[in-house]
Amino acid sequence: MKGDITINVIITGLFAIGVAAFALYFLFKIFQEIHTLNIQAQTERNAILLANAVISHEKLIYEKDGIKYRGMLNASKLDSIFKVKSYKGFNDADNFKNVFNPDYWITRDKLDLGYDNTLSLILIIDLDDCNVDRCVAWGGMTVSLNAGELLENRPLVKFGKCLVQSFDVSLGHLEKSVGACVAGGGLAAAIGSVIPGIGTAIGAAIGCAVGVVATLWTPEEIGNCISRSIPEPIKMWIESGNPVSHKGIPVDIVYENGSIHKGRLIVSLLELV
Amino acid sequence: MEKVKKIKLQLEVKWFLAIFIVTIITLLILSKLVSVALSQLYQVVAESSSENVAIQLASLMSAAGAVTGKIEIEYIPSTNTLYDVKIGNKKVEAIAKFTQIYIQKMSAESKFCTNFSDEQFTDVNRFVVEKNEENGIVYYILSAGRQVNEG
Repeated sequence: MKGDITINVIITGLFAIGVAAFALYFLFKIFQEIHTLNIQAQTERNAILLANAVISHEKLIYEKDGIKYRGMLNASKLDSIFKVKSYKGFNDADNFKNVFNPDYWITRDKLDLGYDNTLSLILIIDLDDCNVDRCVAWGGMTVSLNAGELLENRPLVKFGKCLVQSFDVSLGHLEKSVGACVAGGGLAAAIGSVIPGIGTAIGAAIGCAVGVVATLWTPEEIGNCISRSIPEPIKMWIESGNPVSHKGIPVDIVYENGSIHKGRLIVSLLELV
Repeated sequence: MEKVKKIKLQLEVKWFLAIFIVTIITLLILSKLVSVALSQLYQVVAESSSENVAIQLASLMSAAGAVTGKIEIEYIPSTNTLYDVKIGNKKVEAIAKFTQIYIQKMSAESKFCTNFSDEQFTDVNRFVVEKNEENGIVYYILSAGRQVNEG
């Protein structure tokens, strides 16, 4: 008879639902991948940008006849800004461990570059004056801590904020929540009515609440928020096996006597939030 | 009577199979078009998303520090989408105001390493990043406005 639910109608309906579900899954998968790609290189990118700013900074670069030379660092300026200088290279652990001592940090009046809530370690080595017996190197750290932000960006708080931000207030979502409330409420009311001590009303209320909570966020939204809440050092450690980034760029070091040495500047970041 | 029912059922199965095969073939043909459409959608969203604008703007603000002397950089992420941008604690926070309801409405943050002062802009899509030097003192300025789509 016309209008009857036949097996064909059910199969066709299931097939259509399958196609729609696959299309949605495909769409979310693509956006999830795009987002992940954006996050991956963040610390490395920040380290490269800071390194490039450092080799152009007026308080570090070599100047002659009013011309500032980018990428050419003045050795005398390095001596005045970096409190840690070694003649045994980076192997001089006793000396270089001082870069983590707050008394040896580079103050903002000396070098105003760096990121908030990030330990920015800057190392410079003179490659032309580096051999087994002697190796000239400078080290320093710029640190700017913001206690409020450190507290606010704790993983759990960040996760909660992300969930609130991604909450959908559209009519479609409201309909979905009402549907889930009705379905959950009906089912739980039926179960509650046969279990002594619970009752239909309480069962319906619990079922409705569970139904609404279950439709608040999609698994993709929750996954996205988890990914955004993981602290950067942990993310770096998962992705690269190392909690800090390592990038170095070539520089020239100009000494007072006019000699120019080849060197390398390395910036490592440890982002706290 | 039983025979008529059987034939009717067979006919229904044949019809279903025919529709099923036609649907699969159509989907296979359309899959190429869908992937092209999705890549175009991705391109538009990725270029003008909150995350991309925050990263690009913060990168340009950091890159301004990588020049000696003066520089002026203009950045227009999209002429169709407006943004709310907040600068504070050496971070850029951007929110893209997409009109499409299916695009996730989330803000994004990105860090910069130079000294821009805290500011806030609403409904803008054109940014100018400047670095100036006067009497040995370096100034960083970010200004924003609205670029009208002439097309």
